[in-house]
Amino acid sequence: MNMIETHNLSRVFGRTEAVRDLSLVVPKGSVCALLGPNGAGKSTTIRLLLNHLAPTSGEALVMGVDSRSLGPDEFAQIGYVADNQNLPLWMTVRQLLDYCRPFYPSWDTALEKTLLARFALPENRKLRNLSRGMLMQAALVSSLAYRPKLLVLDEPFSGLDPVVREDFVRGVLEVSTPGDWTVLVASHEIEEVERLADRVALLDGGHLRLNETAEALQARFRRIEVALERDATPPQSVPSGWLGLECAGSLVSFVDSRYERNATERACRERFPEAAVTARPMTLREIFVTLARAGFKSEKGIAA
Amino acid sequence: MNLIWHIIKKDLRRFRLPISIWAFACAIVLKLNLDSALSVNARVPTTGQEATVLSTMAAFMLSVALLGWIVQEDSLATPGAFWQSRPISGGQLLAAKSLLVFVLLVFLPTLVDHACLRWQHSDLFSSHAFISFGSGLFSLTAIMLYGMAIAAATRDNGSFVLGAIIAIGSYLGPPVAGILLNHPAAPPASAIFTSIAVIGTGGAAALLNQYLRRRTRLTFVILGATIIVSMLVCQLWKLPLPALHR
Repeated sequence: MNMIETHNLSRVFGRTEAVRDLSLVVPKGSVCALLGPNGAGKSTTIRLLLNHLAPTSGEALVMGVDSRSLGPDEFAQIGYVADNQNLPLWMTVRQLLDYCRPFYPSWDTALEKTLLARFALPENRKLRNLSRGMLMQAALVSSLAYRPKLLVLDEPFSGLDPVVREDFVRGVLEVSTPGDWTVLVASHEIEEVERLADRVALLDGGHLRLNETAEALQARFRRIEVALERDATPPQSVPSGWLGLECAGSLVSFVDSRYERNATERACRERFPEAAVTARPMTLREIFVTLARAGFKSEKGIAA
Repeated sequence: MNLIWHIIKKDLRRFRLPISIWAFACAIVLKLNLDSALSVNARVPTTGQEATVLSTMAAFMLSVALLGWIVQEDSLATPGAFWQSRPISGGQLLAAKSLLVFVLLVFLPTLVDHACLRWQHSDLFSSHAFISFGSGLFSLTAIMLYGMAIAAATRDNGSFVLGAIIAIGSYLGPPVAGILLNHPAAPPASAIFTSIAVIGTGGAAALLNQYLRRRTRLTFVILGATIIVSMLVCQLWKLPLPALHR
Protein backbone atom coordinates (compact mmCIF):
# COMPACT_ATOMS: atom_id res chain seq x y z
CA MET A 1 0.00 0.00 0.00
CA ASN A 2 1.20 3.53 -0.78
CA MET A 3 0.87 6.18 1.92
CA ILE A 4 1.29 8.97 -0.62
CA GLU A 5 0.48 8.79 -4.29
CA THR A 6 0.25 11.67 -6.73
CA HIS A 7 -0.88 11.53 -10.33
CA ASN A 8 0.18 14.33 -12.68
CA LEU A 9 -0.09 16.80 -9.82
CA SER A 10 0.41 20.42 -10.91
CA ARG A 11 0.15 23.77 -9.21
CA VAL A 12 0.46 27.10 -10.98
CA PHE A 13 0.92 30.48 -9.23
CA GLY A 14 0.18 33.14 -11.82
CA ARG A 15 2.64 32.35 -14.61
CA THR A 16 4.89 30.21 -12.44
CA GLU A 17 4.49 26.46 -12.49
CA ALA A 18 5.63 25.47 -9.00
CA VAL A 19 4.85 21.77 -9.48
CA ARG A 20 4.52 20.11 -12.90
CA ASP A 21 2.96 16.72 -13.62
CA LEU A 22 4.31 15.23 -10.42
CA SER A 23 3.72 11.50 -10.10
CA LEU A 24 5.24 10.52 -6.77
CA VAL A 25 4.82 7.32 -4.77
CA VAL A 26 5.78 6.91 -1.12
CA PRO A 27 5.18 3.31 0.01
CA LYS A 28 3.92 2.59 3.52
CA GLY A 29 6.73 2.11 6.02
CA SER A 30 9.32 4.06 4.06
CA VAL A 31 11.19 7.21 5.01
CA CYS A 32 11.29 9.32 1.87
CA ALA A 33 13.57 12.32 1.45
CA LEU A 34 12.28 14.98 -0.89
CA LEU A 35 15.40 16.74 -2.12
CA GLY A 36 15.89 19.61 -4.51
CA PRO A 37 17.38 23.07 -4.82
CA ASN A 38 15.55 26.22 -3.67
CA GLY A 39 12.36 26.76 -5.64
CA ALA A 40 12.23 23.13 -6.74
CA GLY A 41 8.64 22.83 -5.50
CA LYS A 42 9.24 20.75 -2.34
CA SER A 43 7.17 22.90 0.05
CA THR A 44 4.43 23.41 -2.53
CA THR A 45 4.22 19.63 -2.99
CA ILE A 46 3.83 19.16 0.76
CA ARG A 47 1.20 21.89 0.97
CA LEU A 48 -0.70 20.25 -1.85
CA LEU A 49 -0.51 16.89 -0.09
CA LEU A 50 -1.89 18.35 3.15
CA ASN A 51 -4.68 20.29 1.43
CA HIS A 52 -3.19 23.65 2.36
CA LEU A 53 -3.31 24.41 -1.36
CA ALA A 54 -5.62 23.13 -4.08
CA PRO A 55 -3.95 21.54 -7.09
CA THR A 56 -4.36 23.25 -10.45
CA SER A 57 -4.62 19.81 -12.04
CA GLY A 58 -3.96 16.19 -11.18
CA GLU A 59 -4.65 14.53 -7.85
CA ALA A 60 -2.91 13.50 -4.66
CA LEU A 61 -3.90 10.57 -2.48
CA VAL A 62 -2.76 10.61 1.13
CA MET A 63 -3.48 7.42 3.09
CA GLY A 64 -5.79 6.45 0.24
CA VAL A 65 -7.86 9.65 0.54
CA ASP A 66 -7.93 12.48 -1.99
CA SER A 67 -5.97 15.35 -0.47
CA ARG A 68 -8.91 17.74 -1.07
CA SER A 69 -11.07 15.50 1.14
CA LEU A 70 -8.66 15.04 4.06
CA GLY A 71 -10.59 15.40 7.30
CA PRO A 72 -10.12 15.02 11.05
CA ASP A 73 -9.91 11.20 10.81
CA GLU A 74 -6.88 11.43 8.53
CA PHE A 75 -5.24 14.39 10.27
CA ALA A 76 -5.44 12.48 13.57
CA GLN A 77 -2.85 10.15 11.99
CA ILE A 78 -0.69 12.75 10.26
CA GLY A 79 2.10 14.69 11.97
CA TYR A 80 3.33 17.89 10.32
CA VAL A 81 6.31 20.00 11.27
CA ALA A 82 7.45 22.79 8.98
CA ASP A 83 10.09 25.46 9.00
CA ASN A 84 7.46 28.17 8.28
CA GLN A 85 4.60 26.62 10.24
CA ASN A 86 2.04 28.93 11.82
CA LEU A 87 2.06 28.07 15.52
CA PRO A 88 -0.04 29.82 18.19
CA LEU A 89 2.91 31.79 19.53
CA TRP A 90 0.91 33.26 22.42
CA MET A 91 0.64 29.82 24.03
CA THR A 92 3.17 28.27 26.37
CA VAL A 93 4.58 24.84 25.50
CA ARG A 94 2.26 23.31 28.10
CA GLN A 95 -0.77 25.17 26.72
CA LEU A 96 0.08 24.02 23.18
CA LEU A 97 0.18 20.38 24.25
CA ASP A 98 -2.96 20.75 26.40
CA TYR A 99 -4.74 22.31 23.45
CA CYS A 100 -3.68 19.61 20.97
CA ARG A 101 -4.25 16.56 23.20
CA PRO A 102 -8.07 16.31 23.13
CA PHE A 103 -8.10 16.25 19.32
CA TYR A 104 -6.10 13.00 19.18
CA PRO A 105 -7.63 9.75 20.46
CA SER A 106 -4.20 8.07 20.26
CA TRP A 107 -2.34 10.75 22.27
CA ASP A 108 0.34 9.05 24.40
CA THR A 109 0.93 11.11 27.55
CA ALA A 110 3.94 9.00 28.56
CA LEU A 111 5.55 9.63 25.17
CA GLU A 112 4.77 13.35 25.51
CA LYS A 113 6.65 13.41 28.83
CA THR A 114 9.55 11.43 27.38
CA LEU A 115 9.89 13.81 24.44
CA LEU A 116 9.61 16.89 26.66
CA ALA A 117 12.36 15.50 28.87
CA ARG A 118 14.55 14.60 25.86
CA PHE A 119 14.33 18.10 24.41
CA ALA A 120 14.42 19.79 27.86
CA LEU A 121 11.71 22.21 26.78
CA PRO A 122 10.64 24.90 29.28
CA GLU A 123 6.95 24.06 29.61
CA ASN A 124 5.84 27.42 30.94
CA ARG A 125 7.61 29.59 28.41
CA LYS A 126 5.58 31.13 25.61
CA LEU A 127 6.33 29.82 22.14
CA ARG A 128 7.17 33.35 20.96
CA ASN A 129 9.98 33.45 23.53
CA LEU A 130 11.54 30.15 22.47
CA SER A 131 14.62 29.89 20.31
CA ARG A 132 14.15 28.61 16.78
CA GLY A 133 15.41 25.15 17.71
CA MET A 134 13.11 24.91 20.74
CA LEU A 135 10.15 26.05 18.67
CA MET A 136 10.76 23.27 16.15
CA GLN A 137 11.16 20.80 19.00
CA ALA A 138 7.87 21.94 20.57
CA ALA A 139 6.17 21.50 17.20
CA LEU A 140 7.74 18.06 16.91
CA VAL A 141 6.51 16.99 20.35
CA SER A 142 2.99 18.13 19.47
CA SER A 143 3.23 16.11 16.24
CA LEU A 144 4.82 12.92 17.58
CA ALA A 145 2.97 12.42 20.86
CA TYR A 146 0.03 10.71 19.14
CA ARG A 147 2.30 8.35 17.19
CA PRO A 148 1.23 9.46 13.72
CA LYS A 149 1.20 6.94 10.90
CA LEU A 150 2.50 9.58 8.49
CA LEU A 151 4.99 12.24 9.52
CA VAL A 152 5.59 15.13 7.13
CA LEU A 153 8.62 17.32 7.79
CA ASP A 154 9.22 20.42 5.67
CA GLU A 155 12.75 21.81 6.06
CA PRO A 156 12.84 20.78 9.74
CA PHE A 157 16.57 21.36 10.14
CA SER A 158 16.66 24.82 8.59
CA GLY A 159 18.51 27.26 10.85
CA LEU A 160 19.14 24.74 13.63
CA ASP A 161 22.56 24.26 15.19
CA PRO A 162 24.20 20.80 14.97
CA VAL A 163 23.29 19.83 18.56
CA VAL A 164 19.62 20.63 18.07
CA ARG A 165 19.64 18.81 14.72
CA GLU A 166 21.07 15.76 16.42
CA ASP A 167 18.39 15.93 19.14
CA PHE A 168 15.71 16.39 16.50
CA VAL A 169 16.80 13.34 14.50
CA ARG A 170 17.13 11.27 17.65
CA GLY A 171 13.65 12.35 18.73
CA VAL A 172 12.23 11.18 15.42
CA LEU A 173 14.19 7.92 15.50
CA GLU A 174 13.12 7.27 19.08
CA VAL A 175 9.45 7.25 18.17
CA SER A 176 9.80 5.38 14.90
CA THR A 177 9.15 1.69 14.63
CA PRO A 178 10.55 0.41 11.32
CA GLY A 179 7.78 -0.48 8.89
CA ASP A 180 5.10 0.97 11.13
CA TRP A 181 5.16 4.57 10.04
CA THR A 182 5.94 6.59 6.97
CA VAL A 183 7.97 9.78 6.88
CA LEU A 184 8.23 12.36 4.11
CA VAL A 185 11.00 14.83 4.79
CA ALA A 186 11.85 17.76 2.56
CA SER A 187 15.22 19.24 3.40
CA HIS A 188 18.48 20.71 2.23
CA GLU A 189 20.35 19.14 5.13
CA ILE A 190 21.32 15.98 3.32
CA GLU A 191 23.53 14.54 6.08
CA GLU A 192 20.61 14.49 8.54
CA VAL A 193 18.22 13.23 5.89
CA GLU A 194 20.67 10.48 4.93
CA ARG A 195 20.41 9.05 8.44
CA LEU A 196 16.64 8.91 8.24
CA ALA A 197 15.76 8.20 4.62
CA ASP A 198 15.56 4.89 2.85
CA ARG A 199 14.03 6.44 -0.25
CA VAL A 200 14.96 9.53 -2.23
CA ALA A 201 12.82 11.72 -4.49
CA LEU A 202 14.55 14.49 -6.35
CA LEU A 203 12.61 17.54 -7.50
CA ASP A 204 13.85 20.23 -9.84
CA GLY A 205 11.82 23.06 -11.32
CA GLY A 206 8.64 21.33 -10.19
CA HIS A 207 9.61 18.12 -12.03
CA LEU A 208 10.31 14.82 -10.34
CA ARG A 209 13.74 13.71 -11.56
CA LEU A 210 14.27 10.67 -9.34
CA ASN A 211 12.24 8.50 -7.01
CA GLU A 212 13.95 5.35 -5.83
CA THR A 213 15.37 3.72 -2.74
CA ALA A 214 18.51 5.25 -1.27
CA GLU A 215 20.15 1.84 -1.56
CA ALA A 216 19.44 1.56 -5.30
CA LEU A 217 20.54 5.15 -5.85
CA GLN A 218 23.83 4.65 -4.03
CA ALA A 219 24.35 1.34 -5.82
CA ARG A 220 24.18 2.90 -9.28
CA PHE A 221 26.22 6.05 -8.56
CA ARG A 222 30.01 5.70 -8.37
CA ARG A 223 32.85 8.15 -8.57
CA ILE A 224 35.15 6.66 -11.17
CA GLU A 225 38.83 7.49 -11.39
CA VAL A 226 40.87 6.38 -14.36
CA ALA A 227 44.66 6.57 -13.94
CA LEU A 228 46.58 6.82 -17.23
CA GLU A 229 50.31 6.51 -17.94
CA ARG A 230 50.37 9.77 -19.91
CA ASP A 231 48.38 13.03 -19.81
CA ALA A 232 44.71 12.43 -20.48
CA THR A 233 42.65 13.99 -23.24
CA PRO A 234 38.86 13.99 -23.03
CA PRO A 235 37.33 11.24 -25.17
CA GLN A 236 35.23 12.17 -28.21
CA SER A 237 32.07 10.59 -26.86
CA VAL A 238 31.05 9.31 -23.45
CA PRO A 239 27.98 7.36 -22.27
CA SER A 240 25.05 9.60 -21.24
CA GLY A 241 25.30 8.33 -17.68
CA TRP A 242 28.78 9.81 -17.15
CA LEU A 243 28.51 13.15 -15.36
CA GLY A 244 31.07 15.83 -14.62
CA LEU A 245 33.97 14.35 -16.57
CA GLU A 246 37.26 16.04 -15.67
CA CYS A 247 40.82 15.47 -16.83
CA ALA A 248 43.67 16.52 -14.54
CA GLY A 249 47.10 15.45 -15.69
CA SER A 250 47.05 11.70 -16.11
CA LEU A 251 43.86 11.31 -14.05
CA VAL A 252 40.34 11.23 -15.49
CA SER A 253 37.44 11.37 -13.05
CA PHE A 254 33.70 11.39 -13.47
CA VAL A 255 30.51 10.12 -11.85
CA ASP A 256 28.80 7.17 -13.44
CA SER A 257 25.07 7.39 -12.76
CA ARG A 258 24.46 3.88 -14.19
CA TYR A 259 27.31 2.05 -12.60
CA GLU A 260 27.62 -1.63 -13.27
CA ARG A 261 31.10 -2.96 -12.61
CA ASN A 262 31.74 -4.91 -15.81
CA ALA A 263 29.95 -2.49 -18.13
CA THR A 264 31.64 0.56 -16.63
CA GLU A 265 35.11 -1.01 -16.77
CA ARG A 266 34.54 -2.10 -20.36
CA ALA A 267 33.42 1.41 -21.34
CA CYS A 268 36.49 2.88 -19.64
CA ARG A 269 38.89 0.49 -21.36
CA GLU A 270 37.34 1.25 -24.75
CA ARG A 271 38.18 4.91 -24.24
CA PHE A 272 41.30 4.59 -22.08
CA PRO A 273 43.13 1.34 -22.92
CA GLU A 274 45.68 0.07 -20.39
CA ALA A 275 44.27 2.37 -17.66
CA ALA A 276 43.64 1.51 -14.00
CA VAL A 277 40.01 2.05 -13.09
CA THR A 278 38.80 2.55 -9.51
CA ALA A 279 35.19 3.03 -8.43
CA ARG A 280 34.29 4.69 -5.11
CA PRO A 281 30.80 4.64 -3.51
CA MET A 282 29.14 8.02 -3.00
CA THR A 283 27.12 9.56 -0.21
CA LEU A 284 23.68 11.06 -0.91
CA ARG A 285 25.22 14.48 -0.51
CA GLU A 286 27.86 13.77 -3.16
CA ILE A 287 25.21 12.42 -5.50
CA PHE A 288 23.01 15.47 -4.91
CA VAL A 289 25.90 17.88 -5.55
CA THR A 290 26.90 16.00 -8.71
CA LEU A 291 23.35 16.17 -10.01
CA ALA A 292 23.03 19.84 -9.07
CA ARG A 293 26.27 20.63 -10.92
CA ALA A 294 25.05 18.65 -13.91
CA GLY A 295 22.05 21.01 -13.74
CA PHE A 296 19.51 18.20 -13.19
CA LYS A 297 18.90 18.66 -16.87
CA SER A 298 20.18 15.44 -18.32
CA GLU A 299 17.14 13.41 -17.39
CA LYS A 300 18.33 10.45 -19.46
CA GLY A 301 21.67 10.61 -17.69
CA ILE A 302 20.42 10.48 -14.12
CA ALA A 303 17.40 8.23 -14.45
CA ALA A 304 17.90 4.61 -13.54
CA MET B 1 -19.41 19.32 21.61
CA ASN B 2 -16.45 18.91 23.98
CA LEU B 3 -14.04 19.85 21.21
CA ILE B 4 -16.15 22.90 20.29
CA TRP B 5 -16.06 24.03 23.93
CA HIS B 6 -12.31 23.29 23.95
CA ILE B 7 -11.81 25.70 21.01
CA ILE B 8 -14.05 28.34 22.66
CA LYS B 9 -12.04 28.12 25.90
CA LYS B 10 -8.83 28.59 23.92
CA ASP B 11 -10.23 31.74 22.25
CA LEU B 12 -11.50 33.12 25.57
CA ARG B 13 -8.05 32.64 27.09
CA ARG B 14 -6.40 34.20 24.06
CA PHE B 15 -8.60 37.32 24.06
CA ARG B 16 -9.27 37.78 27.75
CA LEU B 17 -7.69 41.24 27.81
CA PRO B 18 -9.51 42.72 24.76
CA ILE B 19 -12.75 41.11 25.96
CA SER B 20 -12.34 42.77 29.37
CA ILE B 21 -11.70 46.16 27.76
CA TRP B 22 -14.68 45.70 25.44
CA ALA B 23 -16.95 44.70 28.37
CA PHE B 24 -15.81 47.81 30.26
CA ALA B 25 -16.61 50.01 27.24
CA CYS B 26 -20.04 48.36 26.92
CA ALA B 27 -20.71 49.01 30.62
CA ILE B 28 -19.88 52.70 30.15
CA VAL B 29 -22.22 52.92 27.16
CA LEU B 30 -24.99 51.26 29.15
CA LYS B 31 -24.48 53.58 32.09
CA LEU B 32 -24.61 56.66 29.82
CA ASN B 33 -27.70 55.34 28.03
CA LEU B 34 -29.44 54.73 31.34
CA ASP B 35 -28.55 58.22 32.55
CA SER B 36 -29.83 59.64 29.29
CA ALA B 37 -33.10 57.69 29.56
CA LEU B 38 -33.49 58.84 33.16
CA SER B 39 -33.00 62.47 32.24
CA VAL B 40 -35.63 62.16 29.45
CA ASN B 41 -38.07 60.56 31.89
CA ALA B 42 -37.47 63.29 34.42
CA ARG B 43 -37.81 65.96 31.71
CA VAL B 44 -34.36 67.20 32.56
CA PRO B 45 -32.22 68.54 29.67
CA THR B 46 -29.97 65.75 28.31
CA THR B 47 -26.32 66.11 29.12
CA GLY B 48 -23.28 64.13 28.00
CA GLN B 49 -24.68 63.18 24.58
CA GLU B 50 -21.24 63.53 23.00
CA ALA B 51 -19.79 61.15 25.56
CA THR B 52 -22.56 58.66 24.80
CA VAL B 53 -21.92 58.86 21.06
CA LEU B 54 -18.15 58.55 21.50
CA SER B 55 -18.32 55.60 23.91
CA THR B 56 -20.92 53.87 21.71
CA MET B 57 -18.62 54.24 18.70
CA ALA B 58 -15.64 52.99 20.73
CA ALA B 59 -17.61 49.96 21.92
CA PHE B 60 -18.80 49.28 18.36
CA MET B 61 -15.28 49.51 16.95
CA LEU B 62 -13.97 47.22 19.69
CA SER B 63 -16.77 44.75 18.87
CA VAL B 64 -15.75 44.78 15.20
CA ALA B 65 -12.06 44.31 16.05
CA LEU B 66 -12.88 41.53 18.51
CA LEU B 67 -15.00 39.75 15.91
CA GLY B 68 -12.09 39.91 13.46
CA TRP B 69 -9.57 38.66 16.01
CA ILE B 70 -11.74 35.76 17.14
CA VAL B 71 -12.40 34.55 13.59
CA GLN B 72 -8.87 35.14 12.31
CA GLU B 73 -7.23 33.44 15.29
CA ASP B 74 -7.80 30.26 13.27
CA SER B 75 -7.38 31.70 9.80
CA LEU B 76 -9.20 30.25 6.82
CA ALA B 77 -7.70 32.50 4.17
CA THR B 78 -4.07 31.75 5.10
CA PRO B 79 -2.86 28.45 3.64
CA GLY B 80 -1.12 26.38 6.31
CA ALA B 81 -2.76 27.89 9.39
CA PHE B 82 -2.14 25.81 12.51
CA TRP B 83 -5.60 24.20 12.66
CA GLN B 84 -5.46 23.12 9.01
CA SER B 85 -3.00 20.32 9.72
CA ARG B 86 -4.76 19.23 12.92
CA PRO B 87 -7.83 17.01 13.25
CA ILE B 88 -10.20 19.97 13.45
CA SER B 89 -13.02 20.17 10.92
CA GLY B 90 -14.29 23.39 9.38
CA GLY B 91 -17.70 22.58 10.87
CA GLN B 92 -16.31 22.34 14.41
CA LEU B 93 -14.43 25.58 13.97
CA LEU B 94 -17.50 27.34 12.54
CA ALA B 95 -19.64 26.10 15.42
CA ALA B 96 -17.11 27.27 18.02
CA LYS B 97 -16.55 30.70 16.48
CA SER B 98 -20.25 31.34 15.77
CA LEU B 99 -21.28 30.31 19.27
CA LEU B 100 -18.65 32.49 20.92
CA VAL B 101 -19.32 35.53 18.72
CA PHE B 102 -23.10 35.16 19.03
CA VAL B 103 -23.17 34.79 22.81
CA LEU B 104 -20.43 37.32 23.54
CA LEU B 105 -21.01 40.04 20.96
CA VAL B 106 -24.70 39.66 20.11
CA PHE B 107 -26.85 37.92 22.70
CA LEU B 108 -25.41 39.15 25.99
CA PRO B 109 -25.06 42.85 24.99
CA THR B 110 -28.56 42.90 23.47
CA LEU B 111 -30.05 41.17 26.49
CA VAL B 112 -28.35 43.40 29.04
CA ASP B 113 -29.04 46.56 27.07
CA HIS B 114 -32.72 45.80 26.58
CA ALA B 115 -33.24 44.46 30.08
CA CYS B 116 -31.76 47.59 31.68
CA LEU B 117 -33.57 50.06 29.45
CA ARG B 118 -36.92 48.25 29.70
CA TRP B 119 -36.51 47.92 33.43
CA GLN B 120 -35.95 51.66 33.51
CA HIS B 121 -39.20 52.11 31.57
CA SER B 122 -40.89 49.53 33.82
CA ASP B 123 -42.05 47.44 30.83
CA LEU B 124 -39.55 44.61 31.08
CA PHE B 125 -42.04 41.85 30.27
CA SER B 126 -44.29 43.69 27.86
CA SER B 127 -44.87 42.34 24.34
CA HIS B 128 -43.30 45.53 23.00
CA ALA B 129 -40.14 44.76 24.98
CA PHE B 130 -39.96 41.22 23.56
CA ILE B 131 -40.50 42.45 19.99
CA SER B 132 -37.85 45.10 20.47
CA PHE B 133 -35.43 42.53 21.92
CA GLY B 134 -36.18 40.08 19.09
CA SER B 135 -35.69 42.64 16.34
CA GLY B 136 -32.45 43.86 17.93
CA LEU B 137 -31.19 40.28 18.15
CA PHE B 138 -32.22 39.60 14.56
CA SER B 139 -30.44 42.66 13.16
CA LEU B 140 -27.26 42.12 15.14
CA THR B 141 -27.15 38.39 14.24
CA ALA B 142 -27.46 39.22 10.54
CA ILE B 143 -24.69 41.81 10.79
CA MET B 144 -22.57 39.39 12.83
CA LEU B 145 -22.91 36.65 10.20
CA TYR B 146 -21.88 39.05 7.47
CA GLY B 147 -18.99 40.42 9.52
CA MET B 148 -17.78 36.92 10.38
CA ALA B 149 -17.81 36.01 6.69
CA ILE B 150 -15.66 39.05 5.84
CA ALA B 151 -13.26 38.14 8.66
CA ALA B 152 -13.11 34.51 7.50
CA ALA B 153 -12.26 35.54 3.94
CA THR B 154 -9.52 38.04 4.87
CA ARG B 155 -6.03 37.29 6.15
CA ASP B 156 -5.50 39.93 8.81
CA ASN B 157 -7.38 42.45 10.91
CA GLY B 158 -6.39 45.35 8.65
CA SER B 159 -7.91 43.67 5.59
CA PHE B 160 -10.97 42.75 7.63
CA VAL B 161 -11.54 46.33 8.80
CA LEU B 162 -11.08 47.57 5.23
CA GLY B 163 -13.60 44.98 3.99
CA ALA B 164 -16.04 45.97 6.73
CA ILE B 165 -15.71 49.68 5.85
CA ILE B 166 -16.32 48.89 2.14
CA ALA B 167 -19.39 46.81 3.03
CA ILE B 168 -20.83 49.44 5.39
CA GLY B 169 -20.03 52.20 2.88
CA SER B 170 -21.71 50.30 0.05
CA TYR B 171 -24.79 49.60 2.14
CA LEU B 172 -25.19 53.02 3.71
CA GLY B 173 -23.80 55.02 0.78
CA PRO B 174 -27.05 55.54 -1.21
CA PRO B 175 -29.20 56.60 1.80
CA VAL B 176 -26.49 58.96 3.04
CA ALA B 177 -26.12 60.40 -0.46
CA GLY B 178 -29.90 60.90 -0.52
CA ILE B 179 -29.79 62.80 2.76
CA LEU B 180 -26.88 64.91 1.57
CA LEU B 181 -28.75 65.71 -1.66
CA ASN B 182 -31.83 66.69 0.36
CA HIS B 183 -33.83 63.67 -0.70
CA PRO B 184 -34.13 61.99 2.68
CA ALA B 185 -36.57 59.31 1.63
CA ALA B 186 -36.38 56.61 4.28
CA PRO B 187 -37.45 53.15 3.14
CA PRO B 188 -40.33 51.51 5.00
CA ALA B 189 -39.57 49.22 7.94
CA SER B 190 -40.48 46.10 5.93
CA ALA B 191 -37.87 47.00 3.27
CA ILE B 192 -35.21 47.50 5.94
CA PHE B 193 -36.19 44.19 7.59
CA THR B 194 -35.98 42.33 4.25
CA SER B 195 -32.68 43.96 3.45
CA ILE B 196 -31.21 42.89 6.82
CA ALA B 197 -32.57 39.37 6.26
CA VAL B 198 -30.75 39.31 2.90
CA ILE B 199 -27.52 40.38 4.62
CA GLY B 200 -27.89 37.64 7.24
CA THR B 201 -28.69 34.96 4.67
CA GLY B 202 -25.86 36.00 2.35
CA GLY B 203 -23.46 36.21 5.29
CA ALA B 204 -24.45 32.72 6.46
CA ALA B 205 -24.01 31.29 2.94
CA ALA B 206 -20.58 32.92 2.60
CA LEU B 207 -19.60 31.70 6.06
CA LEU B 208 -20.63 28.11 5.31
CA ASN B 209 -18.77 28.20 1.99
CA GLN B 210 -15.61 29.56 3.61
CA TYR B 211 -15.55 27.19 6.58
CA LEU B 212 -16.67 24.04 4.81
CA ARG B 213 -15.07 24.49 1.39
CA ARG B 214 -12.47 27.23 1.91
CA ARG B 215 -13.19 28.86 -1.46
CA THR B 216 -12.25 32.42 -0.65
CA ARG B 217 -13.01 33.91 -4.08
CA LEU B 218 -16.52 32.47 -4.04
CA THR B 219 -16.99 33.86 -0.52
CA PHE B 220 -16.14 37.35 -1.78
CA VAL B 221 -18.54 36.92 -4.71
CA ILE B 222 -21.35 35.91 -2.33
CA LEU B 223 -20.56 38.85 -0.03
CA GLY B 224 -20.58 41.31 -2.94
CA ALA B 225 -23.80 39.90 -4.37
CA THR B 226 -25.41 40.09 -0.91
CA ILE B 227 -24.67 43.81 -0.59
CA ILE B 228 -26.03 44.52 -4.08
CA VAL B 229 -29.24 42.56 -3.45
CA SER B 230 -29.79 44.15 -0.03
CA MET B 231 -29.27 47.63 -1.54
CA LEU B 232 -31.77 46.84 -4.30
CA VAL B 233 -34.27 45.62 -1.72
CA CYS B 234 -33.96 48.97 0.04
CA GLN B 235 -34.61 50.82 -3.23
CA LEU B 236 -37.41 48.59 -4.61
CA TRP B 237 -40.13 50.31 -2.59
CA LYS B 238 -39.53 53.48 -4.58
CA LEU B 239 -40.51 51.76 -7.84
CA PRO B 240 -44.19 52.07 -8.81
CA LEU B 241 -44.64 48.29 -8.74
CA PRO B 242 -48.47 48.33 -8.63
CA ALA B 243 -48.46 50.53 -11.73
CA LEU B 244 -46.06 48.14 -13.48
CA HIS B 245 -48.26 45.23 -12.48
CA ARG B 246 -51.30 46.87 -14.01
